[in-house]
Amino acid sequence: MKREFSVEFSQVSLSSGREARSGVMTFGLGYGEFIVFLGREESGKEVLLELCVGVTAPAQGTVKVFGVDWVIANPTEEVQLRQRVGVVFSKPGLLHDMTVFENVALLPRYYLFTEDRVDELVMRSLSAFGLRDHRSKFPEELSGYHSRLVALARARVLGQELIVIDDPFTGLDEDEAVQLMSVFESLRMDGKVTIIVGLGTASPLLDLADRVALVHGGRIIEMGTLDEVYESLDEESAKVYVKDASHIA
Amino acid sequence: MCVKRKLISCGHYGTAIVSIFYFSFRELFASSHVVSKVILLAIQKQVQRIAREGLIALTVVALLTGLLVVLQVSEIASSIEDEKLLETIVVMFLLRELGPLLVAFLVAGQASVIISMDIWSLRVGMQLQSLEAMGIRPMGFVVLPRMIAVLVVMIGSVGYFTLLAVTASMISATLVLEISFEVFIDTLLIVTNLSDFGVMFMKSVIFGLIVAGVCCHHGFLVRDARDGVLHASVLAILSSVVICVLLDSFVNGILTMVSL
Repeated sequence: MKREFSVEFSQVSLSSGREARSGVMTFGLGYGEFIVFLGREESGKEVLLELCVGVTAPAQGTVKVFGVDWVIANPTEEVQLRQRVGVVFSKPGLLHDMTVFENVALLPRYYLFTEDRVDELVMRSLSAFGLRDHRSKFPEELSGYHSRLVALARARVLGQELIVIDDPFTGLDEDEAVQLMSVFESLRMDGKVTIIVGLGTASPLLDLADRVALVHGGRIIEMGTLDEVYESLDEESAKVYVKDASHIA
Repeated sequence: MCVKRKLISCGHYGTAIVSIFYFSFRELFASSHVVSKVILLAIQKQVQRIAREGLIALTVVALLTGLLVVLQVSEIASSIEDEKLLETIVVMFLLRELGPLLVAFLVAGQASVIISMDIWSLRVGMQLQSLEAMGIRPMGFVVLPRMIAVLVVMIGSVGYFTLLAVTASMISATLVLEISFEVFIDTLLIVTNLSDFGVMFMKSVIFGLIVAGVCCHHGFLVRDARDGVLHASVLAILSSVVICVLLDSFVNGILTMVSL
């Protein structure tokens, strides 16, 4: 029986032509899995994340999320899919002229939920991330950590089953990074959500991951558990990826 | 060759502005989400921002324009035996010509900076990317509310400007030319046609659309930080002014042809 995946890459390449043959990726992410794409800047990690959320199309192959190919999805399928996928880019992307509540309410309001339902969903999401007291604040009044939490609350407001997060620790100090780690731990414990995180350098977050995918030159060069990936690395490569891990640990 | 290149680049510019109109207003019919509270809130916030920024300038310009029209007319009124000259000029200038045009310049000044800055910061802060990933189309959520907001501000401001300018001209006519309020208002009502209001409204809509489209276009072209925003704002203002004056001449030409 064919295994069901929340995200499925099939013969995907980020480039076309002769280069594509060496960079074809085929893999799937199970429901509730936590995977980290580890790669330096320009490695193609961001593009892989964008493929998962359907803002970029692959040069070759297909990316299916919950069984639907972003590229050929009809408008109804796309709307349904968008409500199941949450995204947090390396910057929180909060709208500055809206309060925390309004930012988190963006999606349910856009999809024409009733105001009672919007209230319920937003307050539930804000509570889950400990943001109830911040609901009337504007983004400029929030710390980097709280901005990130609001972005996460927005990405989970409809109970999204897949969350894609790029460089979650960007701009955070050590204390905030540690706090954010505990948020990831609770998300991980929840087990209902598939989490894909993009990281530029290694961090203790890797310990939480079920699998780690090492991205380089627009393709995944290694994928497996953290131990498997580290074992596969030569000393020089390991240094490159691990060098900044200590500042959070 | 140089003229040809300029014409081609003007053509590209025009196409870009028309594309902005097309893709943003297409959102009105593309999905039901456009009537969602999110979009309506975005329009409301934009209207408040753009209108608030320029309210004092608009008031001062309106009052002074009304006053200046009377002062200029008073110079020639004595030499021309026409009892309705002042009121006719007030209607022609304030309702049909100067009102919409001056307001368009003012709104372009306000909106260009606000819109360029907004769109640039939305791009840098990755809000546009986030919106897109959430399935909220930037054309519907970012551009359309700004287009509608500029349009609403433009129409409202022209109405406000005309009211203030006519009031100012009435007061100054009383003080300078010793024309009573009653006579001024009666004559004004005689020389004013419904078509004058129609022309005023039509020009407000046209200029509003031009200003909105041009400002959004330049907002999306901002590539770097403050210099880019400043450059985009200046270009947006200059382009808006030139296009509005060109269109004003074009519209007036057509109105003259159809004797309106």
